[in-house]
Amino acid sequence: MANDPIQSWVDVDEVKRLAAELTAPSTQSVKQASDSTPTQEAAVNAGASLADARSKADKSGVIAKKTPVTPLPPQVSSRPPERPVLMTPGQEPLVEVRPKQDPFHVRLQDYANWLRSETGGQGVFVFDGHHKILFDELDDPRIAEAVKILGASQQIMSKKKDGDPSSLCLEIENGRVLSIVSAVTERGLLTAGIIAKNPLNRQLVEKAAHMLEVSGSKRDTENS
Amino acid sequence: MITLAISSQKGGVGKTTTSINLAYAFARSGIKTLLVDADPQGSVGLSLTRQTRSLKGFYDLMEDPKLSVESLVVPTRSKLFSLMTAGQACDYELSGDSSSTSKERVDAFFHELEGLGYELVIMDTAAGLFNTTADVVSACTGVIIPQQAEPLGIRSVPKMLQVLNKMRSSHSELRILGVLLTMELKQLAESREAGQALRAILPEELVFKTTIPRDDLFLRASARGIPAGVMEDGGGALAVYDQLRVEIEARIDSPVFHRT
Repeated sequence: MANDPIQSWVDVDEVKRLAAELTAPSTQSVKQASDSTPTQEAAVNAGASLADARSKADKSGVIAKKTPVTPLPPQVSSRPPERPVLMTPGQEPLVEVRPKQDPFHVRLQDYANWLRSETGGQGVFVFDGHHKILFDELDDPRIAEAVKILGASQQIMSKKKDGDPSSLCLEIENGRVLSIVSAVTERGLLTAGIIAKNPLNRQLVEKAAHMLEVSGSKRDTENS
Repeated sequence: MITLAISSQKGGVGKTTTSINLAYAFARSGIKTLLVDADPQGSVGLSLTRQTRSLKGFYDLMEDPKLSVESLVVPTRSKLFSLMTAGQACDYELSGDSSSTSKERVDAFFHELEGLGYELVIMDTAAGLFNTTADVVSACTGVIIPQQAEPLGIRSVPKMLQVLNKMRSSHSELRILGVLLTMELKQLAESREAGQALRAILPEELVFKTTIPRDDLFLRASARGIPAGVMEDGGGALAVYDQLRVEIEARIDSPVFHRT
């Protein structure tokens, strides 16, 4: 090399000594990657630029995950593991069947499932910044009217308090509470709500807003 | 459960980019993965969600171990990929009560995550191998050290090795999985040669064969709040991080990585 980037700047022997100390065996068993395997040969090729890696990935077929939004259960031992997608160049990855429904609606359904499971509530609804209903489980038109009014107020609040999730609550009949939360998403402002026994606590408001933001991603639409 | 720390002495070497994209690669391979932001700057949270300023997270738990770990987990669109922000108590490190208690709390944290069914936890740490970061690193199965493939970055390697050896003398359980060359510009001789020079003087087992290239894809992905592999043109990133994943799995003998 014309301009040595390292040897004239550092004490190579010192570096080698320090490195040898670090790699000295410990009591823990960590298997060293010293064997030559086909998998590691593929890893050697990973020194290529992203453009090169992209070319190889394209030839083998790159599949982006289209998994709908679902809540993360506390225990997953009883759930089957998600099907793995191998991305080693040269190997054909498993192909995922895309859902036939509108992916955004699927995500809103998953969001509703998640919100219900988190709150024990029901009657999830979602509308956009123009008050267009995107998802609706309400069966009482009077509550639907209250939702629109409350939702409009919530959207005004959200626009004022940029980045800080907030929630509006309204006690309705039979001691139930209508809670509403908004989030700025790639699809614009979305507002969601649910009817539950109690108002959403702060942590739930933050999570609900975050999950609404995630649901409002345009990723599936751009790839379809 | 496997726990990986992504750490370095220097800042700006690609720890957060590595953490996010590696966690995504493992989740895509079918492993239930939690990405924890253990950087008080909150880089992971700032990269992936607009709500990060208000969510409680890792440092709140370090400050108050009575908090429910599960309540701090933030789900994503992928069932197998969740994250935990740095949280609000980011002055915990300055409280003077950190080092003596944080190792126990990190161990308890990992124990609880294992009970929640997580198979892999990736800890994105702050720059600098001291205080809570030192405890996190030594509590993990192994540590990956991103290092920029450029002359200045490579020249700092001796100092990095000294610090790691010093850490190991007080944290004998510290395990170095390897140095990961990042931000390589193959078209620039200085970058290419810096990486080659480093590989020439370090043992093969101390440097990952995978190199992460410098690409504006990562910046665009960060602007969108998603891993680079999720981007429309993220196929290359998917491939590179998947190859890194495979290398890591080969270095850790664990049933988590070898199930059929």
